[in-house]
Amino acid sequence: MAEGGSGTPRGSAGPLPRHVTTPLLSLVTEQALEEDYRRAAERRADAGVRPGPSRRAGVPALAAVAVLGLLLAVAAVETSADRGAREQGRASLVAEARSRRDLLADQQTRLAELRDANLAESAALTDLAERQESVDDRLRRLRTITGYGAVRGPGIRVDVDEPPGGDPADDMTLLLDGLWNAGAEGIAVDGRRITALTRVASTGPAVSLDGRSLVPPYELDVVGDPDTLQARFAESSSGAAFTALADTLLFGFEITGVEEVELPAATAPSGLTARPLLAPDDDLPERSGS
Amino acid sequence: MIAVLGLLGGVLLGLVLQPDVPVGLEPYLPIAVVAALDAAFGGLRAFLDGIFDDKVFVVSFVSNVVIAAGIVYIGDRLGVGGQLSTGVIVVLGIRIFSNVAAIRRHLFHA
Repeated sequence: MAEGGSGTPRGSAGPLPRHVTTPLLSLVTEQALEEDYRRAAERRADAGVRPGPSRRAGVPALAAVAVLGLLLAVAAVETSADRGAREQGRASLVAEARSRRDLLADQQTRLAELRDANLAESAALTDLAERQESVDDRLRRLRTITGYGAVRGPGIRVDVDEPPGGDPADDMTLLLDGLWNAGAEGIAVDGRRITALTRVASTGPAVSLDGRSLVPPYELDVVGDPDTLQARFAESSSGAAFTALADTLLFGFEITGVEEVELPAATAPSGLTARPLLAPDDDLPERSGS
Repeated sequence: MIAVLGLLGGVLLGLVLQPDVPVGLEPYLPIAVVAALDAAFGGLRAFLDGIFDDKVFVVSFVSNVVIAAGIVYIGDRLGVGGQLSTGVIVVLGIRIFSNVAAIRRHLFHA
């Protein structure tokens, strides 16, 4: 077929049949009319039948043509119905796509907003964390200084007996004053931490702290620079007075340096009436003595 | 004339009844229509040539429709239904064109 219509014979064989050598398209065009019509006509001519009556279309042909009309009408109706449905489907798809796109845009806007908010919040969080850290620091320092936090550090141990005669509270106050002046950072008497609110009183022959009586000899744990604490205690007026008292009355009074002293925390008072004047962010004034 | 009446009758019947085509047969309807058109134009040309034959027309009509639909059906099963229906429509289209050209020559002598 690809040889085209040349019809060239090949080799020793005779010329190929026409339907082989004719190009497909030409063949289709030539045989557009059913070959059978021609053959039937020839058969009739051979049989000597006149072509006249057979030229009329009979009932079967009428039926076939009617079927053609039916097919045409049905196909047309079907196609137009299909188109309606397709267009409806397309319209609804377009509407849905549009609404989804709107939704997407909304959500993207919201996403951006949320991301911004997230950024701001995390910045705020960092800020807060920093502030919390500084506040925690400050609280720790305050607790250390005020005696409401347990501390540990080098210091001295003071073992002292109750001085004979005199007021026990006065003597204890004198001793504590001397230690504070010497640079003590925290003092515990018999395991009780001394704070600014600690009441030192006399109950009979002994000292009571915040209403709880102690039994002499007293054991004072002091945190502070052990190198200077002792010397400065002796230099301070209260310390000197107490040392003189001890020298005079010969009661037990001994100071020993300790490598590490642990002081418990005092119980913080509840229901304070006092309100701080300092704003929370104000820096804590450094303790001048340390 | 009688053929035109038959055609009109069929169209009217289809429009009035509007029969539902089974979903399975829907893809073959257009191909069947094209094949039937081919047979109809072939018959008309034969009529004008003076060699029309009832039996040949009906047989070619039915076999055209059935074969065209069958080819597309097989193509569908093989997964090349689209390509095969294109081929069928091309061949039938060419036949229709040349038959119509012959009819035109008969009618207008040109």
